[in-house]
This record gives sequence, structure tokens and C-alpha cells, in this order.
Amino acid sequence: MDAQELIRVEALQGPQLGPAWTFTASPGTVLWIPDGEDSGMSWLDWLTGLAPPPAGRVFWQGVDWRERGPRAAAAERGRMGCVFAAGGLVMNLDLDENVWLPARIHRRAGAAEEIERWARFFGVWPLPPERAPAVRERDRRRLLWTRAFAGRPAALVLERPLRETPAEDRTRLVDAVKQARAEGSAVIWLEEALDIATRTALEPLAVASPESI
Amino acid sequence: MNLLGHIGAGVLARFGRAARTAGLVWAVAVQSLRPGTWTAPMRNVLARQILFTGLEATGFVVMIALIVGVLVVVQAQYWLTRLGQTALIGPILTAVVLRELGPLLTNFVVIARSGTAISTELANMKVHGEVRALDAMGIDPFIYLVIPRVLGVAASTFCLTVIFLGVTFIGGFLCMWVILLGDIDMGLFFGNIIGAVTVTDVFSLLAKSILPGMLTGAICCDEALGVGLAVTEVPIAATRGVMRSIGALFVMSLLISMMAYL
Repeated sequence: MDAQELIRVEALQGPQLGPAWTFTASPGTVLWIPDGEDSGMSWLDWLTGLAPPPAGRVFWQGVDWRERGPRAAAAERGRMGCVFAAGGLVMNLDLDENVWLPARIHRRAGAAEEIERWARFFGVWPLPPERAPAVRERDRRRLLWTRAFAGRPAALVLERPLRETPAEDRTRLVDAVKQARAEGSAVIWLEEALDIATRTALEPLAVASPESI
Repeated sequence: MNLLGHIGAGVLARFGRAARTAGLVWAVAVQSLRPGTWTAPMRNVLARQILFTGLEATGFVVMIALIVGVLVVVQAQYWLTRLGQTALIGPILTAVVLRELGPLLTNFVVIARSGTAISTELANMKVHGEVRALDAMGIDPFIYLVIPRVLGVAASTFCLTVIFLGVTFIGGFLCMWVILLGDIDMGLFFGNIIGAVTVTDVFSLLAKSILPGMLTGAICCDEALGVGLAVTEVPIAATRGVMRSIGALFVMSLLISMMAYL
């Protein structure tokens, strides 16, 4: 394993993926995986070890997710930040509790400062002490981003994060991704197509493809 | 498959589910003792579960217990007076209410209120991707969702059973007091009841309130987290959870009674 390698995907194949996919994601990089919304595949599940891919292997820090026990896998996933295409919030918790949840479960040091920093960055500070339906969809998305970015994640997996997002928030998210990359996170962006402006803003941007990158 | 094969497959499936539930309860007991399990959000979920299952059900349980106390005492008073054995009211109340009726009815109330609520809530969380989100954040759904619910239901069931028994006996006494126009010795009445309670009764009461409570929590969580992605699976999971919990309650009560009193 390359010392700089965080995620390695080896010969991953699925029913609609075509040839095998092999690529790596390293700290301080942004990797775009062209992931069709209707593809019926879940790159996020494979990359975070939630579900094994139909064929091939996914390594996190050199170890296949399948070789980790549930506790070890959960602890490693606690070092990742995820933005989900849909849902992602626990509806029977207030939104501030939702943002705090992973930090409290994993007992992250300095969580308060990190959460405040990113909540201010995304314009959702103070965190709303309300249930999700009481808040606009736009704010819910920004709270999801706050939760994912807070805690200095080793890897960020963004599943179609710009869906139904206004232009102002798009710019803010791209800026956040660049900051996270500068701080050493490996960012994986799952989107069917990225517009030119976003691709340009994210340069240098690696693109995963069925061939090795 | 022939008839015998069908019956065998059904029996094996039931044993398999029972073994899975027992394993789940065991895992809850072991995991809950591990240091580091009880983070602040876990304690929060446990407190909310006890609030919902225990505190919010207290009024209803008190009402049921009062009615049961009156019914049992009226029947006991009627029949024992005809037989000239009114001194047996205390021991009969103990045998009927403390050993069987109290834990059974309390568990029924818990299953009806909290069993359905847990099944529906968790199944909806699964269908709407909330369980997946928790998992992706490194939050084990078994630890965060199942353990506090199972323990919360068990603790609440025990407390509600104690409340049920207390209210039933007090209600029974008040009923007798009215029937006999105040001609009843309170000390004698409660002395009779307390005198009839044995150590076996105490352990039986503990087992009959805590174990079915744990089983209710485990079964309902298990059924709920087993749903797929269709909303139509939610009511099915709730129904299965409740029915299996009722079955487990009767089987467990029977087993404990047999072990304690036969």
C-alpha cells in the first residue's frame, strides 16, 4: 500500500458498471466518480464499507472493509464524513442533535469549535433546536454539510451534494471542499456530471474511470 | 414438500427466530456492560425510551390496575364469602395478581403502546435511509438504536408492574372498604397479602417483568430493522413484532411459572 493511499478500489464491478474500476484516493485530493443517479448502485455504501461490492474489493487504509469486525469498521467510519443524496437526518432528533450526534458518539475532541466553524461557514449558526420538518430543505442540506465537514474527516464522501442546491450554496460547498482538501481530507464526489464551473473550481480534480487513474 | 415437511419447516423456522431473539437479548446484555457503550446520545435515547414506555404509560396502567383490583376483589369477596373463607382474600390476591395477572397485563400494555411504536419508528427509519446514515457515520445501529430500547422497555416494564401491583392492592382494599361499609382492618388486609408473598414470588415477579420486557424490545427492533425499502413493509413489521412479543410473553410467563411453582 502506498503510504499516502487512503481508499483503494480494486477491480470493482457491478451489473451496470461495465469494465472493472480500479483507483485510489489519497489525503489532500478530490476525486470525482461519475455516478449515474439511476444506476441503482451505491458507491457510498461500497466506499464506506456498509455493503460489499458485487465484485472486487474496497480497501480503507490498506485493509479490506470485509476483513474488519463491526466495531473496528464503525470506528473507522467515524473518521469519515458523508453527505447523502437523500435523507441522512434522524427525524426523531432535533437538527442540532443531528449535527452533534457523530461527534458525541465518537467523543471527538474540539468538536464544539469545529461544528461552530463549519455551521458559521455554511450560514446555519446557531444550530436550529428544531425537528427537520420545521426547517427549509435548503437549511437541512447545509446542516448535513456541516455535520459531514465538522470533525476533520480523513475522507469525505459526497453523494450528489449539489442536488436542488441554489448557486450561492454551490459556491460555498466548493469552497468548503477546497478547504477540507487543503486540511488533508480525501474528498470523493459522486455525481453523474459536474458542470464546467465546478470542475474548474475544484482543479486539480482526479476523475475515476474504469481504467486506472 | 409433504405435510410433515411443512410442519417441520415451520417448527424449525420458529426455533430459528426464537434463537435469534435470545441471541439478541444476550448481545444487548453483554454490550451494555462494556465500558464506552454509554455515550451521551445513548443515555439520551435510554431516557427518552423510559419516559415514553414508563412515565407516559403510568396513568393508563394505574387505571387498568384500579379496575383489576376492584374486579378481582369483588369476585374473591363474592365467592369466598359464599364458601366462608374470607380470610383467603389476601393469599388469593397475591396468587392471582402478583404472580400472574400483574406482570401479564403490564406487559400487554407495554407491547400495545411501545412495541408498536418501536417497530413503526425503527422500520420507518430503515425505509427512509436513516439507519444507513447512522451506519455510514460509524454509529452502530445495534448499539445506538437497539440497546437503549431493549433496556428501556425492560426497566419500564418492571417499574410499571410494581406500580400496577401497588395500585391493584390499594384499589382492592378501597373496594372492600366500600363493600363492607368500612368494616375492614387495613393492617390485616395488607398483612395477609405481604404474609403470602414468598422469596420465590419476588424472583418470579422480577423475571416475569424484566425478561418479557427485554424480549418485547428485542423482537420489535429485530422485526423493524429487517424491513427492506418499501413503506408497505412497515405495518407488516409492526404486526409481526406485536404478535411475536405476545407469543413470547405467554411462553416466558409459562416457563417461569413452571420453574417457580411446580
